[in-house]
This record gives sequence, C-alpha cells and structure tokens, in this order.
Amino acid sequence: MIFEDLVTTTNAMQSLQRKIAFKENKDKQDNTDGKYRLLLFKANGLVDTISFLYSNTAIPKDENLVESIKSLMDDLEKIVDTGLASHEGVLKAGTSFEEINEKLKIEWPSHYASLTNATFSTLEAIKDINPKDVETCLKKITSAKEWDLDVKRYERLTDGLNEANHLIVGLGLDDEILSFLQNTNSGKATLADLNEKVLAWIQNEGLENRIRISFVRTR
Amino acid sequence: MNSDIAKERISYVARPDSITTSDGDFLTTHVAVKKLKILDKFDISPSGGEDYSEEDVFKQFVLNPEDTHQFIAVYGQSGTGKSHLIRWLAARFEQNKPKDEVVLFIRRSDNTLKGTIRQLLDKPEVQGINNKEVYERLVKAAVSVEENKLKDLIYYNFVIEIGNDLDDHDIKLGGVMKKRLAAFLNNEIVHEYLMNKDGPIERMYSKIAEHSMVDRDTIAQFESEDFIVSQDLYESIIAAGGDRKAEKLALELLSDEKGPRTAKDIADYLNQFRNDVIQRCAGIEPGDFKQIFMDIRKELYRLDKKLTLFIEDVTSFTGVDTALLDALIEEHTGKRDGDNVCRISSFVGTTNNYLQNNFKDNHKDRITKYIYIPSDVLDQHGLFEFVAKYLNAMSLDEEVINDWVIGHANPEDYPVHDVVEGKNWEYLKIGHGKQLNMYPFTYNSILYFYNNILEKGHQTPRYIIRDIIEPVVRDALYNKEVFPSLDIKIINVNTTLSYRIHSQISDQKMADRLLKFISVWGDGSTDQYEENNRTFISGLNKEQYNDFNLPALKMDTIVSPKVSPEKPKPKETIKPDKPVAKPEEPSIPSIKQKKITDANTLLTKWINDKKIDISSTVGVSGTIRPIVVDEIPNYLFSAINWQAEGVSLDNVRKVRSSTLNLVALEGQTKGSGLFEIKAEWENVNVILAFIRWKEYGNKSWNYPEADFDAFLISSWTETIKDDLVKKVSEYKDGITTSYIDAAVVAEIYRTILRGEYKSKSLDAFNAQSLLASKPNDALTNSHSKEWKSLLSVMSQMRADINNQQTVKNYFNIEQAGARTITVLDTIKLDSVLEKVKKQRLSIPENERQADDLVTQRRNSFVLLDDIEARIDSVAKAEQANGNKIIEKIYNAFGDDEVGEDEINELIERIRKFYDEASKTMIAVKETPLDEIKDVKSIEKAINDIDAVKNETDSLSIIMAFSGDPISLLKPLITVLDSIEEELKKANLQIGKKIDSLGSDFTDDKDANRYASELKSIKASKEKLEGMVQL
Repeated sequence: MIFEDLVTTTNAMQSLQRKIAFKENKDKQDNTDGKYRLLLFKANGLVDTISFLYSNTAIPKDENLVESIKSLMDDLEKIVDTGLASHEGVLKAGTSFEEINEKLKIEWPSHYASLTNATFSTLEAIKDINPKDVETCLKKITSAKEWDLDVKRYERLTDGLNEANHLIVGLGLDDEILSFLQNTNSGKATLADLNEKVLAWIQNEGLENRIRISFVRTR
Repeated sequence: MNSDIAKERISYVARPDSITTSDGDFLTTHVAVKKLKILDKFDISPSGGEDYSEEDVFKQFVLNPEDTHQFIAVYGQSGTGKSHLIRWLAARFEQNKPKDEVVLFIRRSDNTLKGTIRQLLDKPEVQGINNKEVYERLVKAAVSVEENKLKDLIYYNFVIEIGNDLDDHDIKLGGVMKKRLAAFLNNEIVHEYLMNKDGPIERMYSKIAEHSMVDRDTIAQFESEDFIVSQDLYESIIAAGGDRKAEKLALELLSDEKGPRTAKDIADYLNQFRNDVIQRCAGIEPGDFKQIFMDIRKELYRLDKKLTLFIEDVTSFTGVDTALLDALIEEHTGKRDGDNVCRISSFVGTTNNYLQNNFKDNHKDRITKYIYIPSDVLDQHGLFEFVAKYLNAMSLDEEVINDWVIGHANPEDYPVHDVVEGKNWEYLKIGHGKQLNMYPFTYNSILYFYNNILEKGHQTPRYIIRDIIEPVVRDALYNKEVFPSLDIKIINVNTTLSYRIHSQISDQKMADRLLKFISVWGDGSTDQYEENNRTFISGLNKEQYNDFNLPALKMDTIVSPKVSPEKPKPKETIKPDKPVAKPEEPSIPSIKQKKITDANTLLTKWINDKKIDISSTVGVSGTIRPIVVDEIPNYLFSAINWQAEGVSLDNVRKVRSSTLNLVALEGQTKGSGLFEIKAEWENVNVILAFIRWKEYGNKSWNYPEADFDAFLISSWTETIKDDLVKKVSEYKDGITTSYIDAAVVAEIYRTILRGEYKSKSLDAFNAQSLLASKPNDALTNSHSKEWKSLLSVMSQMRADINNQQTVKNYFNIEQAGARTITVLDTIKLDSVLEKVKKQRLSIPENERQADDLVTQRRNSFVLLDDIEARIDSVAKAEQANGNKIIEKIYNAFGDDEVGEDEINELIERIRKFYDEASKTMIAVKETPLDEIKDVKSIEKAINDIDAVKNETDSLSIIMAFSGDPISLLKPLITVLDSIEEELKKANLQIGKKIDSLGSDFTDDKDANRYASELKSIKASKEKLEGMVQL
C-alpha cells in the first residue's frame, strides 16, 4: 500500500537522519541533552514552587501563568518526540521558561510583602519581649525574601509565619494593642491610636521612650 | 399479282442464281444492262468512260467477227449480274453461233472441282477425247471420306507441305519460322481454332466436298485474320502447354505491332500450297485438270471446231484455277506437245477481289478485254422494271412463258399476267403498250428497300431478289393478315406519325404494322388529300390499306400534290443511289437520321420480343445505351423536384452515383435499373425523342419538331414520376430505404469511439453532437487494441468519413436554385435521432438493408455491421483494461474510494518522501508530479471506469471509455509504479545505512533515551492540571 508506505519510509528516513546526525555530533547532542535536562529540572521546580505557593499561601492563582507553564511543558515533551532533543527546541523552550520565571521574579516582592508585612511589624513590636524567638521567626521568613525556585525556602517562609503567629498569640495582646503595634510598624499609627488601653500597656511595658512622634507629610 | 400461281412459282422464279432458273424465267425476268464498261487494263473500280450495253458486248466480242483468240474477264462485285450477263450472252450466242463453233457454258451450280470437270466431260463435242474413261472414273469416284477426316486431311497436308518446303515457291519463310509455324499448326488449340466453322479449312473443304453448300463469294484460301491471335487464344495455348516454338509464334501473332504482318506472311506463304493441297485432297493430282482441258481442245481441233467458252464463275475453280487459266490463255497458233489445239474465245466471270488477288500478273497481261459491271448497274427505272418483271414472272404460268420463248421471246409479245391482287396498286410501263402491276410493292417501298435495307455493296440484282423481292412477296402471299410482318428498319421515323397511330389504335401490333406500312410503302407523312375522288393517306390510297386489312386513319388534310403516287415519274424524280423514302430535313445529317432509324428498328423489335441487348457501345446499341444509361437518368434526376416529393437529395445523389442504373429497359439482356421502362410504344417514342434531342439538337431542343419531343418527354415524366420516386425511395418493393438510421447509428458510434461525444448517456446526444461534433485532436490514446482496430476498420476506404458526410447531407434541404443555401430538416433529424436513441443504437433485423442494390446506401449498413460485429469485444477489452488500472490505484491507496483529497494527500506524501530522501542522501528517482496535479480529472476518470466495472451493456461501457479515462490515469499509474519502485530502493538503502551506523543506534535504545524526562513532564503536567481544577 504505497499510500502508507510513503509515510513509513519518510519517517524511517527522518529517524535515520537524526541517527546519522547524532553519530556525527555526539558531544553536541550530549550538551543539548544536558541543557534540556537542566531546563526540565528548572521547569519542574517552577511547577513544584507554584504548586506549593498556591496550595500553602494566600497568593492569588494566575491562570495565565498556569497556561504558560503547561505550554512550556508541552514544548519540552515535543522536543524529544523525534528521539533526540533538538538544540533549537531546547533554546526556544529555555527562552519561554526565562520569560515566565522573570515575570515571577518581578511579581514576587509584592506577594512576599503581602504575605509577611503584618507579621513582620508585630514581630518588630514584640522583638524586645521575646527577642530569641522573634529572631528565629524573622530568619525563616526572610529566607524567602528573594524569588527562588527552591521550594524549601517557601516551606521555611510558611513555617516562620506560622511560628510568628503562635508567638504573638502567646503574648496575649489585646486587639487594640496589636493594631497599634502593627500601625506603628507600618508608619501609619497616629495619636488617635493611643487610647487609654494602649497608653496603659506602653507605660506598663516601659516603652515610652522607644516610641517617636512625627507629623504626617502631605503632598 | 396472281397469288395462286405465285405461290407455286415463287420458288422457281425468285432464285438469286440466274443459272438455276429455266430459260423462260430467265428471259422473262431479264432486264437489259446498259452501263457496262469495257477496259483494256484491270481497274478494280473504273469510273467515267463510255457505257456499253450488253448488246454492244455481244456484237463486238461474243460474235468475235475477226475470229481471234480471246480471253475476256467479266467482273464486278458479287451479285451485280455477271452470271446473268454471261448466261444471256451464251443464250444469245447459241441462237446466232456459226456452225463450227462449240459453245461450252460452265455453270457453278455443281460447284466443286469434280463437278466442274464433270460438266466439261458431259459436252457432246468431247465424247471422243483421249483418256475419257480415265477422267470419268476419276470424277465419279465418290469421296467417301468423313467430313472431319477430310478437313483434317486438308489441315495436315499444309503441315506436310511446310515440312517439305524446298523453298521453290515465290514466298519463303526462314527455317526457324517454318519450324515455329509447323509447331503452331500442330498445337491442339490452334488446330481446333483453324478448324472452326468460319475458319480457312472449312472454306477449302467446301470446294472439295461433293455435297457441301458453298458461299459463292468465298475464296478457298487463308486470310491474314485467320492467324491473328487474340489474348484468349494465346492464354488457351499457354494453358494447354506444348511446344515452346508454337508459343513463341503465338506470342508474336498476339503482338499489336508485329502480329498483323506476321499473320499476312503466314497466310500468303500457306496459300502457295493451296492448289496442291486441295487437288490432292480431292483425289486429283496436280496437272490433271490442265491435261483434261488440253485434251478437250485437241479433240475439237481434230473435229475442226472452235471453242467459245463461258465460265460463269472462275472462283469455282479454286484449286485448279492456275491450271485452267494456263489452258485458256494458250493460243491456238502455238504448239503444245506437238499437237494442235483449237481456237478458244473465253468469257470468264469473276469477282473484283478474285481477279485482283488470284490472277497472276502474267494471266492479267494476257486477258484480251475486261468487262466491268458496276454495282448500280440498274438505274431507277431499271430497278422498278427488274422488280416488276420478277413479280410478273411469278404470276405467269410456266406454259405461257414457254410459249413466248418458243416464239423467239419477242419483246412485243412479252406476256403480262392477269392481275388478281393489287388492282389498285401502281403499274409500271415497259414499252410496247405494256404495263406491269407492282403489287405488293410501291415505288416508295422498292426504293426504301434498295436504299435502306440492302447493305452497301449489296445493291445488286442477286440481293434485290434475295433480300427484297422474295421475302416481301412471300410475306404478302403467306402472311397477308399481318403484312408487313418483315423485320424492317424504319428510317427516320416520323414521331408525329407514330404518335398519331399509336394514340388512335390500341392494338399495339396493328399500330406497329401500320406505322411500318406507311413509313416504307407510303411516304411516312401525316398528310391526307383527295385526288380524282380517291383518298390518299400518307401517300397510299385507301384500297392499298384495305388490301392488307389496315385501318386508314384520319390525317392532316392538304392540297393534292401535282405528282401523286399513282402517277410516278421515277426516272425524273428519284435516283436509286440516294435516299428517297422521305425528304431529309436539311439541317440534320443523314448519318444522324440513320441513328434514329436504327434505334427505332431495334426498339420496335424490343416491343415485340420484350428483350433487347444494349450492352454494346457501338452501333445502334451504342446509340440507345447512353440514352438509357446517362441521358434519361440525367434528365429525370434534374427534372424531378425530389425534395418536394419527400426524397432526401442525399438519397438521390446516392442512387445517381450508384452503378445501378436509374432506368433500364424491359428485358434488357445486361444490366438492370431501379425503374423498368416497359417495352411499349409510348416509351419507344420517348427514347427516340431523347435520341433526337441528343443527336439532332446536340443535347438541346434546337431542331425541327423538338417541341413535340419536349412535350412527349415532359408528359412521360409526369406519368412515371410517382413510380420513380417510389423506386428511389425504396430499398425493395414496398420497403422504404432506411439507410439514414444505420448511418446515424454508425455516426453516433463513431463520435463515441473517436472521443467526440464523451457523455455517459445518450440522452444528451443531440443534433449538434451529430452534425457539429468537434474532432478529437488527441494524437495518442490508451484505448485497447480492439478499440483501435475497430476505428481502423471503420476508416477503411474512408467509410467513416463518407458515412459522416451522409449524415451531414441527408437532412439538408437545398433552397431552390441555390445549392449553397441549405437549411436543416430538424424535424426529420430529431425524429431519426430519437428513434435510434430509443432503440439504444440497435436497428431491428427487419429494418436492416445490407443488401441494398444502391452501394452508397448499403455502405451505411455495412459500416454499422462492421461496428456491431466488434463492439462487444471492444467493450470487454476496454473494460478489462480499465478494471486493471483502477485495481492498481485502489491497491496503492488501500481503499476503493479514491478522490481528490486522497490524491492530494498522496502528492503531499510523495513530495515529503522526495524531500526526506534528499536530506537523507537516499538516491531515488523523482517522477514529475505535474502530470497528476489535475486531480479532479483523475478522480472523474476513476469514477467513470468504476461506474462500469461490472457493466454488461457494451454501449454503456464504450460511452464510459469515450473520454479515454485510461489516458488520464496513466500519469498516476506511472507515478505509482515509480514510487513503488523508489520506495523499495529507498528502504533498501535505509536498511543499509542503519546497519552501517552500528548497534548503538538501534531504535530500542532510542526509545528509552528520555524516559525519565518524559515521566517528569507527565508528573508536572498532572500537577498543573491539578492547579487548574483548584
């Protein structure tokens, strides 16, 4: 059946071409394979990271991002369809990966701040109350300050945040006091926040000289 | 005439040989001859000079006043009256001869050698000659040899003479030629040929045999014509085989160039032996005759007598003529063997030819005088007198005549018979107050017979008796009720007269008889007048009609002419050597008039016999034949408005160009025609009118009385038109020709087979398909050999082209007078088309006309037969080829539904194959794909073939293949074949290359190269899917 034989034979020739090419340039292929595997490793790390973040943090899900990563994974799959990873395919997929990763790197500080700012302020406020534990928490949280595809960093981040919460809750602070501390750390506290309960707690804790007052600048 | 006496006497009186009649009849019928010529030297046809009467000859020569030796030759054409004159001279001399004169009159009635010798020996004066007993025994010894034996004897005696020729004759042949001639004569075929009835041996035999009938004009000798060898004779000689020498001579005699000369040489050579041979075969030795004659003369000398010899005809002495002449020229003053011989005065009758050719010069030199009798020895009155005297002699009792002879036959006592029949007929005055009744002749009839019936050279007394007097009188005596019943040519027949007669008399025979009577006995006119209270119709009085129970018709009344037939002045008015029966039209040459006359004679005979032979292109047949074969058909084809009669001009043209004549005469011995012209007088008149139109008018109506001929022809055309149209329209009686059906069917087949009509159904076949199909210009095709062979058969002898022309022409209607403007008879065309389409190109058996006598009509059926005989095998072969092709295609695609998409995909795959082969450095031969880029056509071709792959109807099959779909698929097949081959080659090369790469590059290892990576991809993808679902 010539109609089918044409396809079979054509494929056989293509395969042969690659084999010949492979034989003729084995180092190059090994290099490509290495790059491919590295790229795939990064991509898998990306998937793991995103998957962890979406599952364990309050970061909003970006569907476009997920689609881009799926497309990248399709490309990575196709690259080896013919039996040997093509150099061009790897380069092209690498570019796609970098684009996604760069975008995440840019967006990450924002996500990081929203995840950690409140906790950071409270921890700063109570730093003198339990300086050792606060320091431990802060270390864990700040380990994920920069975007990285090591999912362990983000596990420590979540651990640090959880531990900080336990620490704050353990101090038994009133909500109004916690609100004052958090506003003070974010530079938003005003004299209006200084109600009696707060002043009483400051005085009780001997924090008067450690709090400075200034005017709000207007633009 | 007195018929009672005439019936008894006619046989005795009307004898062409004057010698055989009695003296009484001889003298009663004798008419004095007055135009004799007397010459010193021979002249075959003397003219001018003084005329002598028979009486002058008698006085000057027969009476021989100076008593000298004389040898006088009396000559003239056969039948001019030489014998009559010699007999008259002899009879006259018998009554006036001196006492010492012996008159010997040698007749030719016993016209053989021995008979002649016997006459000599019977004379009383020679009873005492020497050796008489020996001579008598010689002549009395009966020749008891059988006829065939005797003829063979003569024949082979000539062969013997050739073999023993010592070259002692005047004419000599070379040794080779003599051997050839002997071999030639010994050839069986030649022997048979020369022995035939009209051959030379028969002529010589008649001079020897005792009881043979002899033609007086026959000379017993060889003629050049006897040795002219025809192609048939030559082929017979060759076919019979035999001596090469005979064949060589036969070939020489066959040659146009040398043949006549050689034939004459042979005839002249053989004639030298003629006398010896004849004498030997007659039982007389050479020299016998001369000896007898000399003995007679010696005896007469001894008796102191002189001899006057009258020899009626010297030709009767053939065989001994030289000896006789030697004896006659021997003068009495000389010595012969020491004996004296008597004086001889001889009068020898001979014909011109014999005298010219058979008298040797030494004989001619010794002839004393030549007396020449001219052919027209009788003047007009003499002619009438000659006839009248014979008629008179027949009606006279023999006793009456004898009494007159005994009374010295004085003219004033000349007996005249009592007229019983024909009292109202003409009378001829002969002097002495006597007149002779002419019944059953008129002057007109005598002159008519003399001028028109007697052949040239036969206008002599003998033939007047034999061919005029005797037959006409017998007819009147014995066939009075149907007189004239003789077969007489009517010269220059008066058409008006013929029309008058035949339109008034319904009895065909009676009408013919009357026409003949008026034309020959009367003046042939349509005039009628009164004279002396008697009615003359066409120059004959009413009583003359009554005598033969012929009706006297009413004719055109005119004023009585001054000279009525009853008062003829023949001497002053008519010369016998000129046509006198009817005045000639001055503008029409007599030769043309004769043609009409001869034609009329033959056509009249045709009416009676109901058969006619016009196969010859010469003579009278040559006059009538072109009229029947060409002129009448040409006229009818142009005169009849065939289209108006519903006959296609194509059919008319086909009939016209057919070898089958449009018309033929009833009973025509050779050839036939569509329409038979019956043997009836109306048709004779029409045919004669056509002949006159051609001969007199040079194919125009510009001749006297042409208007009547034109009327005759146009009336006749109207009467036969319907029948003729029917005949042209019909294939056989009652069956209309349907060749156009066959022609259209054959043409439809042709357009299909030629690929001009490519539709798969006949429904779309219309007039345009039939008449304006465009020729298929394809130079090549992929049809089966059966298909091509059929086309080849169809084009043999341009049968297909001619048939196409037939179809194109048949439905044309030509505008009157303008052949170039034609309109199409679409109604007829559509009708025929619908019919043949409905019958699916099948002509029912009972409508087939393959034996049509009109070849060009038959050709359409023949062509169709050729097509039909082959169409099934053509369809099968084509179908088989087509099926093979599409099976191959289906196999290549692995599917029996191959369309545009599949073919495009194939092309794509092939291109890819070539590309990869190129990249892979696999050597494959690329087949151009341009040829298969018209995928729609390829798809259609496949579908066309597929549609009839199991079809059994041949017509459907050939229509499916009309567009030559196989040719359209050929490039695809070529590509498939090529690709199949190249795939094999490519795979082989791929295998080899893979082998050369070594085991590290097997497919199995490759398959696991990225297994873990793919696994991880799969896991990531699952995670991503999980995210989507969150």
